[in-house]
Amino acid sequence: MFGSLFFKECRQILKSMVYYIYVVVFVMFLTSQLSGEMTERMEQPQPGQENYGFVNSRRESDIMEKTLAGLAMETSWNSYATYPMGFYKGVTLNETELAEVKSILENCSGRSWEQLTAEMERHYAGYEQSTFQGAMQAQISYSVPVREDLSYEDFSKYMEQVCGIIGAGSDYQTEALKAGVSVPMTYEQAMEEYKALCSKDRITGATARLFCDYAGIILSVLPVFLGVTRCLRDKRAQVSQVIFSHRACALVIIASRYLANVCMAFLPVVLTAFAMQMPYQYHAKTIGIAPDVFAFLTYSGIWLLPELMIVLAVSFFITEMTENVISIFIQVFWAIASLFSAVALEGNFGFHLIVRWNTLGDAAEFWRQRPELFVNRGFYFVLSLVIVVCTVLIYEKKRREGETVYGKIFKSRK
Amino acid sequence: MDTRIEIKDLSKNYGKKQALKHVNLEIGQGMFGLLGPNGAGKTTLMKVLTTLVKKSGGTVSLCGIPVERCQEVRSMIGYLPQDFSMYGNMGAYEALDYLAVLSGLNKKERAKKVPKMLEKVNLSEQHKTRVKAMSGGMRRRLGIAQAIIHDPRILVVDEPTAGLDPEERVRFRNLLCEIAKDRIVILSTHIVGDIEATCENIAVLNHGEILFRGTVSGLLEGVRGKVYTMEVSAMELPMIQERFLVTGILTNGSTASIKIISEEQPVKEAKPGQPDVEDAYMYLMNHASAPAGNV
Repeated sequence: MFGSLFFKECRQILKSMVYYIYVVVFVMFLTSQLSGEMTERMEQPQPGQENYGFVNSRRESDIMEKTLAGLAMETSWNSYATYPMGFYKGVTLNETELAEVKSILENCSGRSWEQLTAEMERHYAGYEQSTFQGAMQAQISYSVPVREDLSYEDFSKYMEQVCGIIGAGSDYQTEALKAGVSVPMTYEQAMEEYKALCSKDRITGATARLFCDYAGIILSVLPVFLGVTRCLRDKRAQVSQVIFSHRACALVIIASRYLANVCMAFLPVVLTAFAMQMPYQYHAKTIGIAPDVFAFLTYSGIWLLPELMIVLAVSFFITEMTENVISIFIQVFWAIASLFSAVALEGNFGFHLIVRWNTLGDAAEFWRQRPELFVNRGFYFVLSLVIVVCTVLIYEKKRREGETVYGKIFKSRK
Repeated sequence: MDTRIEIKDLSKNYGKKQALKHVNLEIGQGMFGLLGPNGAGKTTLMKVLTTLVKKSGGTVSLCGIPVERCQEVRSMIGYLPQDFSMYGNMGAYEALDYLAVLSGLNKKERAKKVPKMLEKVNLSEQHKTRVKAMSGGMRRRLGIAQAIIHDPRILVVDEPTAGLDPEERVRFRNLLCEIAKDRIVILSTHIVGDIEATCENIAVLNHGEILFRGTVSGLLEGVRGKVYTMEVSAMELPMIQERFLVTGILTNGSTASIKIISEEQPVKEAKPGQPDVEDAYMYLMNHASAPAGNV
């Protein structure tokens, strides 16, 4: 019975317009984010190159210098970017507050504000500011040396003072500092990175991570539409009574629907991943590396499948309970909260719904943080199964009592 | 093997409203008609029997199995709800096949039974017609096919002929009679003609209470000798309607031929008439306070 129902559900999904919208939005989102030529960034670095890209550094000296550089720049514009509750908010300080921040900068660097601005101007004048590459290079390479006797603890306290002045959600918060800073890569670092790309990631591993990073964003919301559509279909077609009166148990009905939705929602992910890995497989072969042909599938399975499962499970549960579309709003809120609560675009997985690794490479760091990713995804995998079981219980309750939980709540409020 | 439905002291409350009040019924094999006006509690009773609504009190057993054993009860019943519908984008075959899976039929059984059932309900030629494109009659026929595809011992049909044209209604009644040969079929309706044409055993329900249980002839017996026909002028008609229970009016210009129910001969000109089930039902509903089975 389960197998037949599963295949019938899959066929029904294939007939649904919502499913095709899901596929189109997913593919369009992915292609818009990953259409750039990434193979250029996978070339072996050569000595004497103009730059070797950037790397995330968690060295205290790097963190202090780069953070002060950012603070000096924002202070010179008197415009500070903050993200309270995840959304951008520009902060402009009054004269007293600005003087306080300048004083903090002077204390940290041991230089006067005039000296700092003069050095900043000199640094930026040395780069071609009219091009994106030049501006980027200028920003990444700019740093403010710290006072020799300034400890990291004292620096952190100064940054806490800055946060007190400009408000929450800035780059000067302790969590943001812990996430590290971007610094220019040296040739040696670039070579090390390249070796990891070839040996550990075998090219496709690195691109698969970037694929999962972007796919994870859209998959934190998109599957909810499939879940809600499926659960409301019975109500819309007025078939609940007919289905309830049949022999099939609630577990078989809900599990077959859920599994069919998971499989059908994952299918375009697998196909897109397969299509997107082709150029990188080819690139790997041209530079004499045996690519990991299953990298996209493995990463998608571990990274994206649990996310898709939890989104569908939650949408099934809420929709079966309330019989309305509120699940969509809840999911959008959860996804936004998860996206903006991330302090870093690489790692620090925690228990975020959306896990980020928005860089091509940094393999060594990823492999270091990999167990944390497994814990995160394992948690959501198990949680989704628990929620499906809860959905089965809700479905059976509705079936036996002839009322929805929502209906009961509504009645008791009257 | 027990082939009866036993309902003892059944009650169902929706909050403060009592939909069923201490209902007692015993239903045997064959067609059983459940008659009553809209809101009488027929659908609630059907839903209790089909495990879709939890009873508030009393006991119900179907072929010896208490209704609380939902899974077993669902295996032995077929249910055609009042407004049967299926997913609009499914064809007749596909819809029936889907519901056959839910009834526990395997692939082999379905391949054999689905075409057979479609043929039985005269939908073979429309096996690809989508549910949303079906007429009311076609939908009901599909509904009856899904209700009997797993060969249930009990079939519950709720208002199956409401909204059907006369031809479709007769065809549907005949189909039900054919199905009822070897099982219990409970037909719930407010259309007296359906009961008259198909059922021998009936119960009349009103305000959640059984007003009558017995045979159709028993119901007719209650009104025998109380039906009269007479010719009256159209002017007199409102006055007669006020004084008597009028169950039929046939106007012919300025006169009208009427059928009334009265305990005594209303006027000298009134002639005794032949009672039908509708008369008996109307009489019963007007004497709702009379004891059950003894009207």
